Amino acid sequence: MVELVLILIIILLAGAVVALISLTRKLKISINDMYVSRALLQYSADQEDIILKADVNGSIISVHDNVALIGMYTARELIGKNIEVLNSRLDDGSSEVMWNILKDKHETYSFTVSGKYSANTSFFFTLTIVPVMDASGGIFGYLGLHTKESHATKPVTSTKESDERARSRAHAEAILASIADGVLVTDQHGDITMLNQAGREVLGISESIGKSVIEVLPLEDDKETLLLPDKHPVYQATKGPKSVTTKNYIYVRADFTKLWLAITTAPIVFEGNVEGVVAVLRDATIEKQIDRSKTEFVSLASHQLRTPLTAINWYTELLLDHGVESLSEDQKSFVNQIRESSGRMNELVSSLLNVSRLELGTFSVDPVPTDIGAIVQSVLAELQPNIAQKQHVLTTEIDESLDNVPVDANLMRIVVQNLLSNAVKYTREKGEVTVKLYRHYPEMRFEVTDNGYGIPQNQHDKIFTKLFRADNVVEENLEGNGLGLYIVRSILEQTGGDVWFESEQNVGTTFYVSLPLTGMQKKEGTKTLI
Amino acid sequence: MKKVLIVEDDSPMARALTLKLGDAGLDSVSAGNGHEALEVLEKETVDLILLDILMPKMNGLKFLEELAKRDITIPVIVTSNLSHEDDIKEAKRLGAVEYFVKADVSLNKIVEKAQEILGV
Repeated sequence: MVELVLILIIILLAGAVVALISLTRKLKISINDMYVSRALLQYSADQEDIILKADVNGSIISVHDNVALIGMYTARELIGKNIEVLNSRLDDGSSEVMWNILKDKHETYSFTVSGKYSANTSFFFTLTIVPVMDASGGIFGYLGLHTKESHATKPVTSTKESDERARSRAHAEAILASIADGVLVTDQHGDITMLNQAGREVLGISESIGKSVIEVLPLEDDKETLLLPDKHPVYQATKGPKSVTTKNYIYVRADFTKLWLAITTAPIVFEGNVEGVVAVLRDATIEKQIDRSKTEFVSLASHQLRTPLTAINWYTELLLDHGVESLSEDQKSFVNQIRESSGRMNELVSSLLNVSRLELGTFSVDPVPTDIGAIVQSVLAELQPNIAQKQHVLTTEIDESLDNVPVDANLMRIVVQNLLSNAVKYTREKGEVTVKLYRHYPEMRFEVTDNGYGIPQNQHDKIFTKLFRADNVVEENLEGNGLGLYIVRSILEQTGGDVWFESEQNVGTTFYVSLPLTGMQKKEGTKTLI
Repeated sequence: MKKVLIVEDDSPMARALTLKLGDAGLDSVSAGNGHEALEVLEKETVDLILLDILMPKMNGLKFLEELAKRDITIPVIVTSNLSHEDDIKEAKRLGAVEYFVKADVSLNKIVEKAQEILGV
C-alpha cells in the first residue's frame, strides 16, 4: 500500500516537473529561479498558450508576438498597463475579487475578453490569470493564458459566470428576435441554426432549423437564374473568404411571389475557424422599384432633352454658315462656344441613356462576327483631332486576325471609345498612348496605356462607380461626367467580359479589357421605353 | 432641281433642314407626319425623303410600311432622336437606307448623305 502511494507521488511529481520545464521554456526563465504555484501546475503547458506576462504588481511586461489585440489594446499599448484593464467587469467589484483570488488564495482567475491574433479575425476567448510563486512562496509575477474552452479549469467565479452567460445568451436572443431585419444563422455546413421572427416573415416560412440554407433560401440573380450552391451567398460564406458582403438577390416564396432581398453575409469566426455564417435579410423590393422608376425617369428626361439640343446644334451650325461675313470674330467664337457646350451636353445625355438602358436591362446584345481592329482604328480616327491637338505619341499594336469575333459592334465601340478618349483626355500634352489588341487564349485582350495623370491609389476601388471622378482630374478642371467607366464595366459584366486596370498617380494608367474569343453572350432586349 | 420631302413634326427642325438643303441647291417640301407625307406624295414627285420617327397621327415606321404597300421606292433617310438599336434595325428592315440620330449629327452630314444618294 505504501509502495503504491509512493509510486503515485512519483508519477505526480514527474508530471509536474515535465509541465514545469515546458512552461519555464516558454517563460524563458530558469527553473532554479522559481517555483510554480499549485494553480499553474493545473495547466498542461503543451495545451495552453501563454499570451502575456506581468510583474508582481500586475503590470504587463510582455505580450506574445502573435497577439495583435486584446480587448481594445494593441500588444504594444498593453506593455506597462495593469492586467486589470483587460477585465471588463471591474465596475461590479470584480477587480477586488480578482486580486483576492490571485494574491491571497494563489488561485487562477478567468474572464472573457475579445482578441485578435496576427492575420486573423477577432474572436472571444477566456483569459486565465495565473499567479507565479518564487522559492519563498511569494508571488513574483503573473501569466495570462489563452484557455481553450474544452479543458478550461473550473473557473473561480464559475457560478457567477455561468449565470451571466445564460443571461447574456438570453439577452442576445431577445435582441435578435426584436430586430426588424431578418437574421439567419447557419453552422459551418450551411445548415440553419437560427432564423428570427422577421426572417421567417420575410421569407414566408415557419420551420427552417436544421435544414440547409440552399433549400430554405432559394435565390435567383438579376437575370432570374436560380443560384446553384457554388454561387449561393450564404452557403459560399461558409467556405470563406472571411469577408462581409452585401448584394441583392431575387427570392421566390413558396407561393411563387418574388421579392428582392438585400443579403449581408458574414462568417462567424471563432479561434480562426469559420464556425458558421450570419446573414441579414432585408426586403429591398421597394428600393428596387424606386430605383427602376428613377432610371426610367432619367431615360425619358434624357430623351426629351435631345430635341432642344438638336435645335441648338443645328441652328448654331446655320448661324456660322450664314454669318461667315456678317458675324464678327468675337461673335463667331461665342457661337462656337455654344456649339461646343451643347455638344458636351449631348454626350452627357447619350451617356445617361446608355446607363439607364444598362440598368433597366432594355438593351440587346446581338453578337455578329466583327472586325475588332477596325472598330479600334475607326475610334482612333475619330479621336485624331484631339490626339493631334495634344501632340500625343500614339502607338498601336493590333492583331488584325481578330476580324471575326462575335461581338455586338455598338457595345464594343462604346467600350473602346470610352477607354481611348479617357487616355487621350487624361494625359498631359505630348503624352504617350499605347493601344494593343491581342489574343490571350482563351480570350482577346484590348489594352490602353497612357503616361497621364493616373488614378490616386486611395480611389482605385471607386473608379468604376457611377458618377465618380478622381480628385486629381477634378482639380485639373478636366471635363467628364463620371459615367464612362461605369458604362464600360456594366457592358462587360453583362456580356461575359471583364475590365481592370493598373495605375499610379502621375505615372500613368493601363486599362485591360478581356472578352472570350467565343465572343459576347447574346441577350434579347426587353424594350419598354422610347 | 432634285426635291426632298422632309417629314418632321418639329417645325424648327424642319426649317433648319429646309434652309440647309436650300444652301446645297436642293428643293424641299415639308409634311408634319406620315399621313400628310402620303398626301404630298400623291401630288408631287420627290427624289428623297428625310423621315422622323416619333410623330403624331402616323409615325415614321408606319409611314415606311405604307410606302412598301404602295410600292413607292423613293430612298428614305431616317433622322430621329431615337437611338435604340431596335428602332434602327426596324427602320432599316422597313427599307430606310440610312439612320441618323439627330442630336449626334450635323446638318452638313445629313445633306452630304442626301447629295450622295441623289448623285448631285
